[in-house]
Amino acid sequence: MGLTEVDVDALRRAVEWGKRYQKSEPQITLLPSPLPPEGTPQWVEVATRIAGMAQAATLGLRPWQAEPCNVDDDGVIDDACYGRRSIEVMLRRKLIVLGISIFEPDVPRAIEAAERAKAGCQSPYRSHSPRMSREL
Amino acid sequence: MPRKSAASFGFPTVTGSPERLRPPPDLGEPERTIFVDLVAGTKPDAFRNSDTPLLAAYCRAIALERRSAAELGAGDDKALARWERATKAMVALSMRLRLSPQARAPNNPSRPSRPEPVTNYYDRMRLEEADSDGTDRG
Repeated sequence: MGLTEVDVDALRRAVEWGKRYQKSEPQITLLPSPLPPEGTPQWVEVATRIAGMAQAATLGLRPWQAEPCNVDDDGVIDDACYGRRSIEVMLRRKLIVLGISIFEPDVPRAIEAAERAKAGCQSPYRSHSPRMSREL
Repeated sequence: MPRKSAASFGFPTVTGSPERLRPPPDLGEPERTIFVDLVAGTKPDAFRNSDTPLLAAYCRAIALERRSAAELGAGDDKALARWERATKAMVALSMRLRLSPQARAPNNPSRPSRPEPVTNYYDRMRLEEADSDGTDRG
């Protein structure tokens, strides 16, 4: 799969998220040491895995729910199949429509920012709920 | 070949937490958005089905407060009375629903509380998508 500049930027931020996570939970090894050089297929593989973890955390997903970067959107919707459920495909398509990378680590925040930018203004009342994505 | 889900093996998918309240069908769009924001922003067990009318009234009060504030900002002085009444209703209902900082303040906790769990985004999407007939997505 070809990666766009937006995807690479998202993967880069996902790796940064992984580094912060590892710092806060030193007993868990998320990233290999040394990290493969950026841009190599090995780096993309590692960064994609970390992006999935970051998405699961920021979206508050349950173990059986697929992250947007692990969703199969090939036209086959199956609500009994991991990565093909309608709600999972819907979120992945929403990201693409909003111009957000499917590897975006902080999906709720990115959606909120994109929708705000789309609306063209920032309402002082819109964000009523507490932030859903966890800061590390 | 895609991985098989737990559901496909016939295991029940039990989250252990009650299902979140859905907005009643008679709510308007702004109130409905407020309802979803509130329900998604609190713990799953924060409300019961019987709280729906009170919560809907609270959402209407918030929407009225927003509209009145906007009208007031636009120079409509008559909106002040509406804004005051809406604010009073918001304060009263938020205390009953334990949605204000004062109402949910714990009694001098000796240890810091746990961080709030992140709201499941798919649950939130389902709430936003929920139809009046209660259709659900896997």
